[in-house]
Amino acid sequence: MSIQRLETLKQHLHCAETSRGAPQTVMATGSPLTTHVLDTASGTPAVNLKISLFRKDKLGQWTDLFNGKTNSDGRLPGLLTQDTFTMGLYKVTFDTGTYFLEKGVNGFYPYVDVVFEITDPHQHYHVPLLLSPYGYSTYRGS
Amino acid sequence: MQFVSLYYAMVVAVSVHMQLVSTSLPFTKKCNCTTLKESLGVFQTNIQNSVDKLTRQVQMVTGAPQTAMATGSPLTTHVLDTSSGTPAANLTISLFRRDELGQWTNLSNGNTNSDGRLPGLLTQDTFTIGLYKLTFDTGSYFLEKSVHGFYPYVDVVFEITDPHQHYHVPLLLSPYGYSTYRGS
Repeated sequence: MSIQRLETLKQHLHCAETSRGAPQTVMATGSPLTTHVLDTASGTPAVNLKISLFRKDKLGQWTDLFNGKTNSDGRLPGLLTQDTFTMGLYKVTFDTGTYFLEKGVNGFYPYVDVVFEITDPHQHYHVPLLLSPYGYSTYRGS
Repeated sequence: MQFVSLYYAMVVAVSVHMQLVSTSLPFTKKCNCTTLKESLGVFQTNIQNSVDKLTRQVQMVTGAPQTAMATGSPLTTHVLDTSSGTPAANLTISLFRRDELGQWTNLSNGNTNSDGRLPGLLTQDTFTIGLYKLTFDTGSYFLEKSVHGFYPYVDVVFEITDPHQHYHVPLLLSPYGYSTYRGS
């Protein structure tokens, strides 16, 4: 198990000890918006895949909120904090082109944009990507 | 004994064939043949000619698969609403290609038909190597169905490296999830 994964699990345990330990509390300390990229062609998490998060402002422009690369578990913690999570349109851009290029694989999609609407910022939103060179899927998880 | 019978049967067959040929059927030639070997050679050529002609006629009537595709769009799509188990009808789709300045040029727009398809996206002449984007107006689609959807629209950006192939870019759609893949 990776060190990062152990750290994440450790945080969960710590929160359970210090508070009543309701799941919402655990999630409230993490980002209210999370993602997870799985490479379904290799059956592994998509590691080191660049992700950018944007929110549409009042002028209709996409504002860059966060950039980073997935960890060894295909996740990118810390996308947002609860304060910055407001209602509106968001876009997550997954740099799938570079990801597959680095693997020496030819991919169909230079990048994947997932645009979604947040209507209730008090909920937790999980926007994963199941990815392969010639296909992908996404869904709203919790 | 059997060999002799077979030999005579062949001679009769070829003779009958030559008789038919002499009545000047198209794509056959008359044989001024003196040996069985010559007759058989002409017989083979005539049969091949007839087969070729029939093949061309069949292709003209039915159309070889490649011909059919060459007349349709080299890029097709299909939207299926997996939440209702039906094609997504009347969904607006826009097709763009990225130009040299990095801007998206609108190539075509339309609404899916009752089968969730939108024929005529492109012609072979306009299908060049490059980056393309299909935008599916999923927001309006679900709004019209009074269903709350997570995605105001779906963009699928893909790269065409060989415009001589056929590319099928479908969308399997539901209010809180979708998937796409490269089909043929």
